[in-house]
Amino acid sequence: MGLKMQSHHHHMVAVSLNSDQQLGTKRKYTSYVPRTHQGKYLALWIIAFGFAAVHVYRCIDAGHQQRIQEGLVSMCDQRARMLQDQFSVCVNHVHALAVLVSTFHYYKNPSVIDQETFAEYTARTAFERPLLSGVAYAQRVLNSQREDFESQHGGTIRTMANKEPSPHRDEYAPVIFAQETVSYLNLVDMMSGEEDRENILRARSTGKAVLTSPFKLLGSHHLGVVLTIPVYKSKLPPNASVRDRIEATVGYLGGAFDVESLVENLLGQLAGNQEIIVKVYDVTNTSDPLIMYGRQAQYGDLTRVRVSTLDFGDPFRKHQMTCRYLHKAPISWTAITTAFLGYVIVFLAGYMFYTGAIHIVQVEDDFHTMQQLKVRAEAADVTKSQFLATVSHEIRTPMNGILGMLALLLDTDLSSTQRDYAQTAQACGRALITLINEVLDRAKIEAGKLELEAVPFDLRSVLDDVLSLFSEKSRNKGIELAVFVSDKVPQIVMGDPGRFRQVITNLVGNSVKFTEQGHIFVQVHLAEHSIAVHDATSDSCLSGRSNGCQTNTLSGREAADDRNNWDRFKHLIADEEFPFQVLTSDGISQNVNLMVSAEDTGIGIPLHAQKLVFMPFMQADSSTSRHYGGTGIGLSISKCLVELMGGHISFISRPQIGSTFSFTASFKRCEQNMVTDPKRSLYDELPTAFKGLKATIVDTKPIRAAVTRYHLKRLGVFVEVVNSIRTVASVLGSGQPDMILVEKDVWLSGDDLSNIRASVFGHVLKSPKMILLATNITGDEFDKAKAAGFSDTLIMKPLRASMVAACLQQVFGTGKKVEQGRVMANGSVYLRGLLCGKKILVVDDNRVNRRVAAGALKKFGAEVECADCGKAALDLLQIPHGFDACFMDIQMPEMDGFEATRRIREMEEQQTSSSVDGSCDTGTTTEWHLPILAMTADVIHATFEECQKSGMDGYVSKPFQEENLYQAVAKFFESKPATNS
Amino acid sequence: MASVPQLQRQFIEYTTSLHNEGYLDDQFTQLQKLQDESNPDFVVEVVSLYFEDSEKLLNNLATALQQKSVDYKQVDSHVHQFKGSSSSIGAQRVASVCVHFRNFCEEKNLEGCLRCLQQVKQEYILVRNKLEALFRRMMQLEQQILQAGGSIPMME
Repeated sequence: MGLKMQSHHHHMVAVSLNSDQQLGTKRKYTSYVPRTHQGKYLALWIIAFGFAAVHVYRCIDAGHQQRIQEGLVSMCDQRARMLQDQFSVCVNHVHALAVLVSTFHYYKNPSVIDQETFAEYTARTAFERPLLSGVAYAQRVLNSQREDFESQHGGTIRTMANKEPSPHRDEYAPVIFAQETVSYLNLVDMMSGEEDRENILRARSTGKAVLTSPFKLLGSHHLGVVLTIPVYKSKLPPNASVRDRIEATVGYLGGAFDVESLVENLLGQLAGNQEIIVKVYDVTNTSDPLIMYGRQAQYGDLTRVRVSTLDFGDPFRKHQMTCRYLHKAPISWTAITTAFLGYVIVFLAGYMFYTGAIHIVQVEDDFHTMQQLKVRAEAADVTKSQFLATVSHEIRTPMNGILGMLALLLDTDLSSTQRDYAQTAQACGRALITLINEVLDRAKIEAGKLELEAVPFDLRSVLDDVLSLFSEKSRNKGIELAVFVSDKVPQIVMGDPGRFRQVITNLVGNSVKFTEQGHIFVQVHLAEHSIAVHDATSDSCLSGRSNGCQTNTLSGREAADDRNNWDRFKHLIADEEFPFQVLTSDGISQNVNLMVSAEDTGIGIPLHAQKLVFMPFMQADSSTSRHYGGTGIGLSISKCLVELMGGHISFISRPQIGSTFSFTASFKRCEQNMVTDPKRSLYDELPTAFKGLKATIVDTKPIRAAVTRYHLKRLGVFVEVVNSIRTVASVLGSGQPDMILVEKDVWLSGDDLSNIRASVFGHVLKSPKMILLATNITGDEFDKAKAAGFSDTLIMKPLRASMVAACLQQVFGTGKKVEQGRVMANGSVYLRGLLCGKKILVVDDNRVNRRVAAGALKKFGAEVECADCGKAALDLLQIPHGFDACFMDIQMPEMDGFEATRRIREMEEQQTSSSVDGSCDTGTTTEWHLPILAMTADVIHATFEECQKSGMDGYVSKPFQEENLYQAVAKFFESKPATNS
Repeated sequence: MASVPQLQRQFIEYTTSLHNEGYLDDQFTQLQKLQDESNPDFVVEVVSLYFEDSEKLLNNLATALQQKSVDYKQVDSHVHQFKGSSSSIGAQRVASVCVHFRNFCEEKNLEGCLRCLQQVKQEYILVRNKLEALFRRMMQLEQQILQAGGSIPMME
């Protein structure tokens, strides 16, 4: 035992490991979330979007900078243009002066211009030349003409530097007309100053206005430039040569531009003057630009500068204006805030993803763990069931020994005390076995190992059997126990009779246990019919509740489910007066759905316990089990079984009034021709001797009468029901009844029977038999009954068709004896009957096993042949052969049992098809199908499906055990017992 | 001379003792049930078949496990045979050692296999001695019972 247990343990561990692996392979879902290094991904995200933010900032800032630059450019250009315009206006005016001088001084003779006129004119037109501090006209004087000139003008020609008389030179340019502002220049030789001289030379050779480079002006400390325009004595052709020009030159008109104040003025007029720094340069010599305006020092915003070229009309000189901002450009806050806010949002999103990912990973891990735990829990559950199954099985074996020993002990000579002890022990042992069987059942159901049979059976006889089990107890308690099966329920259905019986037994057993008085009533109806009637009658019953519905139950006591009374029952059986053939025989539906209810008038179930009723090992409370015994496992098994049968179980219970358990179950309709003679072979046959007899039932309680009628109808007896003995006479119109059945309480309630008997039936030759029906009866009552005329018989309830038949036989003295010799199915004698004379092939490679199997089968009268391997079996089974069945070991070398079976089936198919083709020889076109049963030591693994797949018909566990063998063999031989034996 | 019930009890006790010690299980009882007038020596016949087979199998196993490269498949099939016949006659302790043996075979664990072989041998010898003793004792008892005019009790 110890070793066995260990081995089971190993087995179970292996199972759970396997399931783990299965899980591992199954769980292949894709995860879109990184399972590790989420932190790194977050950092990467932050860095990447940091760069992105900087980029965004740069883009926005670049636009900003460009706008600033554009502003600078436009301001600078605007200033440059204005300066240039004003400058050129001045130049043009000086030009006009030059023309004036040449016209009025030289072309007129004598000249109409003198110093005064010139000063007057220039002073009055000074507003036209805002930029010029003053204008003066210098005459060209050659050295040869100096003396004349000096004498004419009354002074000497002076140099610019020190106003001394000019030294001797080739040529002079003394000022002869000057604006008043520059009157100090009178007779100053303009050619004595270096810059002026160059200017003069350049001007007369080009004929255009020319400018000097900037220098400090005389009389003011401002920087300035001097403009010089040549005056010619005659009009020159446009393409005159330099020489011609020099020759024609008579003087020069000059003016000093005060650039500094000029620009200052100009800028003062413009907006935005404070923002920018303007500088004007003379860039004639590009390597050394000369500043004309602005401070030399570099300040302001050095990063941004705009250079605009200025054209003052002198092609030789080049000028330009540079502009800078005074202040550095302000930082672009828009760009910074945009980029920063964007970055913050992205950062937060990244963080959300990060925490999300961590959460998902965690949830996934938890899920994984939970799944593993679930698998483990399920494995543990299966293991538990297997353990239970194993242990129960292991306990059963020694228990059988104990019971066997006790049986032997009881056969020996024992004193009455010893006998009592032994009997008690035996009873306890039996109870223990029952309990273990229940536990085993439950474990099997939980482990999913319980399979229901599908064999034809007569459920009426099953119910009768159950009733007979409890008849003794119910009689002792004085409870009315009855069963009623609707006529619409077919005689034979396909299903598992054992399990059906188990459920009914359990329900009735509970009812009997918990009921002290009243009744227990089992009804079977078609579920569809029952529901229909329920719907139809629920209203009427609700209204009828107040006026004493409860008296209309079987025993007259109130039942829990008040709908279950006569009002409803009437409807249920109403149609049976005129059998409703459509439902039962059309064969549209292959299923027979039954509604079974078991009603009692027991102690009921306390309300608080009603929820727990179907839980295993639950009873209402611990005192219940002390008082009534039992484990409370029965109902939970019943529930499982009912569910396996495709139905469900429910109950209605009222404390101190009773409980009604009802369940539905689905069975298959049984084709009548499928089983050759079901009544004969499978079931106790009810005697047919009473067909056509007439009976009158005297009963005040309609349901009870219906039950009685039901049993009599099964015997083929026509039944009429009357309320009292007095009314028996009134129904005589249909002919005299052969028997009158009277309920005990009706009889006791008054009518004197003998008189009526005499008066009503006195004239008839053959008086009807009087039969008393009773649940229990005392000796006195019995004597009284006999005296009253019930000499014929007394039928003790619960009624069963077969029992009623036996009683009637006694009454009518029908000579026909029921074949009492029929052996019940569970004895070895029965097995012998099944196997006797059968030729059976045993295939097993193990000599000992073969011998044992053969011995076992021989014991039951079978003729056994053996084969030691699959091949030998195939040889023996070449068609035609005389074998009735084959027992096949599964695990064999070379060819195992499955393979051998497949081959045998192939052979049979070939044979069948060929015999159909040439159906001439014997005329027997029977299909060859040898029942093959697998023999296996490993019942748990060898499932029925596996065997079926390879064509086997069933399996027997090895080593052979009688009941086992019986169950397996019975399936085949039962259905066709008459063919061979 | 002991009375018939006493002898009968002894007979049952002896068989039961074998059960209780775990050497034999229910299956042996089943075997005994199969023996009847038409087949009077059934148990002895089967058991001696078992002895023959077992000794052959044990020898085969010993040789197979001494090979340089052990053919575990073959060893397994031998053990399977041994297990089958042992459970058929109800030698449950032998059978349960065989279950372990097969596990080791599956793992290809030579050490375990050898250890199991020893165990199996021991168990087998034990059960053989017990059975032989049982047969001797039974013959004795049967004779005594028959002489005393009783009948051989059957196990339930």
